[in-house]
Amino acid sequence: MNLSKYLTSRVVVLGVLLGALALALTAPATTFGQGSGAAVDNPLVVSAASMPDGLGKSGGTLIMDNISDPQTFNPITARDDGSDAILKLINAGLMARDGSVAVAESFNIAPDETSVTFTLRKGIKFSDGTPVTAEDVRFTLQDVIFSANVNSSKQAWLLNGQFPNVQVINDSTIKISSSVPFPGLLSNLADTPILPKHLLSGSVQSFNQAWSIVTPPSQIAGLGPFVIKSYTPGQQVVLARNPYYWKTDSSGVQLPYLDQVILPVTTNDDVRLLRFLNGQTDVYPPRPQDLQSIRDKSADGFNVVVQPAGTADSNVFSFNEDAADPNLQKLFRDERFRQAMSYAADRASMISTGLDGLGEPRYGPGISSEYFIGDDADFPQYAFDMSKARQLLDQIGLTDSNGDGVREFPSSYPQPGAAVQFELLTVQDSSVLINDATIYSQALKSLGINVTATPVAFNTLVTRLLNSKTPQYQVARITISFSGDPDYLGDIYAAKGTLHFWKYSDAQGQAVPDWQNQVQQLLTQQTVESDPSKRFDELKQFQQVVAQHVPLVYLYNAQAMQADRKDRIGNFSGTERSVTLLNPDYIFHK
Amino acid sequence: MLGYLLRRAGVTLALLALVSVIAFAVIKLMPGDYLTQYQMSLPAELLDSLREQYGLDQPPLIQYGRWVSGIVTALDFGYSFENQRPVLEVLFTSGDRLFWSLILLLAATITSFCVALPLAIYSATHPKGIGSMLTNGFSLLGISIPNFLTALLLLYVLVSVLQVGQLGLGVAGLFDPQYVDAPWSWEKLLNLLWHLWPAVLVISFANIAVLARYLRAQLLEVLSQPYIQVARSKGISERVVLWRHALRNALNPVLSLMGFWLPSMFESTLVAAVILQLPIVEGAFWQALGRGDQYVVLAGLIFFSVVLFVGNFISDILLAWSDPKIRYE
Repeated sequence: MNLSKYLTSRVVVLGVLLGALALALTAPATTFGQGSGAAVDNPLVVSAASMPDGLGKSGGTLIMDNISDPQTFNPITARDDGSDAILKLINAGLMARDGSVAVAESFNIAPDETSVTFTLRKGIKFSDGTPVTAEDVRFTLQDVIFSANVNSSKQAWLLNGQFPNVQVINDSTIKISSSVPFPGLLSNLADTPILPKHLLSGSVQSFNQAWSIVTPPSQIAGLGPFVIKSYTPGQQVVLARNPYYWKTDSSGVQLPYLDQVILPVTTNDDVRLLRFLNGQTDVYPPRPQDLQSIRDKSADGFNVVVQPAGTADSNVFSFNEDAADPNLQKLFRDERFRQAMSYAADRASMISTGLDGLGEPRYGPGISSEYFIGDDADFPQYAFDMSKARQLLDQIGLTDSNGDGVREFPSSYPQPGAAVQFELLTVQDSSVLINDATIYSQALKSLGINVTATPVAFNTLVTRLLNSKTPQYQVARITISFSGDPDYLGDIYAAKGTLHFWKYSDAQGQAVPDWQNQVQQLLTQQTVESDPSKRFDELKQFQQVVAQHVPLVYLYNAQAMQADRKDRIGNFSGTERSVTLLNPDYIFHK
Repeated sequence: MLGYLLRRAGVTLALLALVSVIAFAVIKLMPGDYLTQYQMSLPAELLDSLREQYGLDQPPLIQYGRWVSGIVTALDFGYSFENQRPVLEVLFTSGDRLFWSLILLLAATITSFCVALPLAIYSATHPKGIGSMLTNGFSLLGISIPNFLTALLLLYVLVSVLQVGQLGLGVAGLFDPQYVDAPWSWEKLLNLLWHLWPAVLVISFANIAVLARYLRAQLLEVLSQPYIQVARSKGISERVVLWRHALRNALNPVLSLMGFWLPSMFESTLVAAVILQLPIVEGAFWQALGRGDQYVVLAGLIFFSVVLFVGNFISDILLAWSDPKIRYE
C-alpha cells in the first residue's frame, strides 16, 4: 500500500474510531466451530495406550504463547522458532520422526536397498480438500527442495553429490531411488512436509517468497492436524482443525481433538510466565527459576512436567588447536591436556546451579537419541576428578616453578617459562553459559591455570569461531545445536567440516591425528550404510573414538521442562525445543 | 519565512543523509551480519546462497549505495531479510503498527498533560505542604525508575497481587485472544481499554514526572515575579492570578518542551512495546534490531530521526508563536 494513502486512511480511522465504535454491533466475539470431518479410507489409528491420559474428547481451544511473530508460512524456507511453532502443526511428511509411516500408508525397500517405494494413504486430502497424489511428493522433492533457486536444506539429500531420483509410479505410488543405499532417506522424509502442487506450482521460480505472512490463509494448505485460520501481525495466529486430517483415535473419532490452537505473540520470557500464571495460556515451557512459582499454584491445576534430557545438542568447551599463541597451540593439541580439562569440568555444579539440577552430564558428542550410547557402562568418561586433572598437567610438565600459584610451560614448549593462561569466551546474554564459564574458571585456577572469562555478544563469538579459517579465540563455551539424521555430524567432525572450529588446519592435513582419520572414515561409511545395525555400530564407534580423544570438552544436556493446566487440558506430553507442541493431534480440552 | 522553511528542509535532508551513513556504518561495524545467528545451525552451502541472495556478500559501500538509490529512485527502503517483505510494510502497515503507535502516543500525551498539570499547579501553590512533598516524591520516582521496570512491576501487581486472571482479565497485548479477530463491539472496546491503560501508564509515567517538575519550577518562578505581587496587592482573586496571569506565562516555556515531547514519547513507547507486547512500530524495530535485519533497522532509525526533526521543528514554530520576540527569517 502507498504510505501516504495508508497514513491518510489511518488518520481518518483514528478520528472516527470512537464514533464508529459507538455504532458497532454488540455481537459476541469470535465463535469457535468444529470442522466437519471427511474420513480417509484408511486413517492412521492412534491407540488409547499411546495417549498419556487415554482417549480425549473433541472441541475446545488451546492457547500457547508463541515466542515471536512468524516470519513466513513457507515450511521449506522457514528458519525461525516463531514460524516453526505454527508450521509443525499444519504440515506432515510421508514418514514420522520415529520411523513409522505417516502420510505414506506403507513403504517397501528394494532388495538391493537402493530404492524405496511409498504408497500414499487412500483418499488422503490436503486441508483444502484437494486429494494428495504422488505428483505432489515428486513436486515437493524435485521441483522445490532439490531446486537450486530454493533456500532449502538440500545438503541432507545429496548422496555422493547427487540427489535421489523421484519417480511417480501412479497416483498413489512413488519410488525414490539412488545409485547407492541411502540410510538417511526415511528420516529426511520425516522432516519434509508434502506440499500441494496445485497451490504452489506457479511459484516455483520465486518459491522463497511463496506463502509469506501476507498470503491469505485460504491459499495455504497442508497435511498437519491444523490449518491457518488467521494471522494478526504482532498479536496472534489462530489455527483451526484440519477437517481432512488423516488420523483417528481407537474409537474412530477423527483427530485432532481440539477445534483451535491460538498462539498469541509474547516475546518476553517474564511476561510469558505472568500470562501463564494469570490463566491466559494453557501451556508454558518454564525456565528453572519459574518452577517454584508454578508449583506454588499446583492446587489450582498448574502442573510441571520434566522431560528426559536431550541427546542431540552438544554443550562444550572448545580449545582452539590452531590458537595463534604457539604455547597454547601445542598444549591444546596434547590429548592429555584436553583429558585433564574434561576432568576439571564440574558438571554436577554446573547443572545444579545453572539448570536447577535439571540436566544430565555428557562425555561424548551430541547425536539423535536412537544412536546415543553415552549412558553405556564402557563409554569413555573423563568425569570430574581434580586429582586426575592435576596428575595429567604434571605429566605434561606444566609446573608452578616460581610459586606464584600459576603453572608455567616447560622447556619443550616454544616459549618456556610463560604462565599457562588463556581467555575463555562465552555469550553475554546467557546466564547458563556464563555460570558454566565461572565455575570452570575457578576450577582451573585451583589447578594453577589462569583463565579470563569474557562474555561477548553471540554474533561476536560466532564470528570469532567461524568467520576465519584461523579462528580468533583460545577457548570458548558454546552450544552446538543440530537435529535429525546423523549425516550432519560431518559438518562438525570431518576434517573439512564447516564447523570444525577447534582445528581447521585438519583440512590442510597439518598434524592430523590418527583418530581424526578414523572419525572421518566412520562418518563417510555410515552415510552409505544400508544395514541399520551396521550403521548403529559405526556411529557407536564414532562416539567412542571422539569421547576417548576429547576434541571438545562435553558437559551436559538440559532436561526440558513443560508446564500445563492439568485442570483444563489432557494428553499434553511436552514440546519440542520449548517451541512446538509434541502431540497436537491428541491433546484435548477437558 | 518561506526561505527559512526551505533552508530548514535542506538542512534536515543533509542531516538525514548523515544519519543514514552513521547508522549503516554502526551496523556494519558490529561483528557478523543477519545470517551469523544461523551459522551454528544451517549448512554452509545454504548460508552462502542466502548471503548472495540478500546481497550480504557485497562490499558495505555497494550495499549502502544500492539501498540509498532505492530510496531516491523509488522510495524503496529495502527488504526485510526476516520477513521477505518490503521494510515499510514490516515497520508500519503490517498489523496496523503505525496506527496503534499513534493511538498510544495520543492517549499517553493526553494522560501526561491531564495528570502533570494539576500536580504541578498543586505543588507550586502549596510548596510547603505534605501534598507537595508527595507530588515531588512521585516525580522523583517517575524519573528514577526505568520504564521496563515500571512495566514489569505493573504486570506483577496485576497478576500476583490483584489476581486479575480470576476475573477473566488478561495482561499484555492489545486484546484477549477471542477479541483480536472479532468485529468491533462494546465488549471489544472495553477489552482494548483494559489492555491499553497499563501501556498508557507506563509510557506516561516518566513523562508526567518530567513535565510536572518542569512546569512546577516555571510556575514557582512566575509566582515570585513582581507583577504577580502587584496583581495580588490590587485585590485580584488568587484563582484569577493563578490561571490568567501566572499559568499563561509559565506555560510558554513548556510549549517549547513540546518539540522534544514527540521523540521522548516514541522512546518510552519502545519499552512498553517490548514488555507489554504491543503490536506497534517500536516493537517491529526492536525485533529487527535483535535479529540484525539491517534494512528494517536503518529505516527505523531514519524514521525516528525524522520524528526528532519534526519535533524540533514544531518546537521552533511554537516558540515563535508564543514569544513575539522570536522570528525566523
